[in-house]
Amino acid sequence: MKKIINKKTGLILSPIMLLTALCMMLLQGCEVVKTAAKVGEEAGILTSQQAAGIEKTAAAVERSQEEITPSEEYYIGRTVGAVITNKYKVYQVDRATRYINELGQTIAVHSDLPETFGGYHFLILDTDEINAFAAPGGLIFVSRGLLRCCNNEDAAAAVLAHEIGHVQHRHGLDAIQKSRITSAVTTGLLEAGKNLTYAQVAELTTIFEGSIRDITSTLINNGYSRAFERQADQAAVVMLQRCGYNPQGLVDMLRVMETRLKPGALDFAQTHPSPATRITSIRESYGAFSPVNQGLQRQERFKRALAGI
Amino acid sequence: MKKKKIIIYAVVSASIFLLTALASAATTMSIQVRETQLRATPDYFGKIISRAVYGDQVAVEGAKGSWKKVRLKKTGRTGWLNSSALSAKEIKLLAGAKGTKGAASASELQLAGKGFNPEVEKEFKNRNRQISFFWVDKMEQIVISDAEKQKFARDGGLTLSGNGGR
Repeated sequence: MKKIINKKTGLILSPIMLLTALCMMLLQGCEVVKTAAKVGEEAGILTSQQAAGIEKTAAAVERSQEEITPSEEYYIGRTVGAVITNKYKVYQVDRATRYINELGQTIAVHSDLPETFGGYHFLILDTDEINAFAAPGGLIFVSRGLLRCCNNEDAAAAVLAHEIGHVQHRHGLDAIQKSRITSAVTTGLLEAGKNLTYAQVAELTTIFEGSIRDITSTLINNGYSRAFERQADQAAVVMLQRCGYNPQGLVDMLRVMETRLKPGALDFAQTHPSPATRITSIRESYGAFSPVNQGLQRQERFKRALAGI
Repeated sequence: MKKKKIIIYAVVSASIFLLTALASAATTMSIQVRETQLRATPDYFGKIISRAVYGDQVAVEGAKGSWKKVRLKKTGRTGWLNSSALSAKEIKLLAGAKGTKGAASASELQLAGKGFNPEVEKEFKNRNRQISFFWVDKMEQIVISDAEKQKFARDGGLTLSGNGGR
């Protein structure tokens, strides 16, 4: 009799508990669900098989969502930044570097990802190419050629906001081949709180090198998808509006860029949708903006800081 | 029938226990950035109450927009943190770093991160000696203070609320 009641109660209550656990998983994150599955098992509500099933699902969701932590993203970004600054010369005019950091770090406060592990930092590349790169975690590089497409601070703000948009959406990490991270996860190399042997560090470094190659070849040679560029432009418009910049600055900059891009050049001509396409897409999402007011005090400091660009 | 009642009672108690466990576990979060500041108000220009570093745990006591009101477990101080600085996952430090509590600097603690960490960067540098990190190290030192950002916004006629995104 006892066994029958137990079975019946189990049959009725187990699905309810499973459902509760899954709902909580959606609401509160995977670690909690894994703990809950254990608690459920200990309390005799879930069989060990059911508990293991929930744990496994939670772990899989967790891996796909947060394979790379902000601290790992930071180390990836540093190395991507190192590769970029070894390929390009850095424009060493303190006044200009300081200004784009004041501008960029102020805008970043109003992104959807205001804090990253190591923060947002900006550097100008000494090249005529029309180019910019956002390394994961917030190291952002813009070329003199691209800054020359900006006639006002609102336009320069748009350039930086677009790159912050790529960081916010973690587009760089998306360029990493999934198989690399999967192999690091399955071999336990990415496990928290674990000291690795030298051989394991070497294996992990090989995966790291591959990941860096994936990202830099996307940034430098292939470019992101049109969808990612549209996302970055949209993020830029939102950030600009939040700070009080006129998003028309983005359109103005794209118009100048359109006249300067050389077909076949290894820069935005190759890695980005055409300025006309981007303008159309911005128009479709936001309509037209009013013209940028160039009489503001910000125009003075923009000219002063980037006089020699 | 008595047995049935006892079993149902036991299952209900277990459910309450489970839900309590879920609720209490959900209120603890970890700092996932190298360093951040607890603020008196939910915005980036609020008065700084306390400094928090990577791996520190906080108890979440409230929320407003993208900000969370938290109590820093190591000091008991309460203030506001932006959600981008927080992770729902516990950040486990490596065995070697666990003893370095209290006086440990942020740079020491970050050594404890999992996966791609300073150890991997060091090995990468050994293998790729031609790649210099000079400019990356230099650019990371360019930090615009809160006061400087506020002045930049004021001078440029910007509408900077400091609320962060979302």
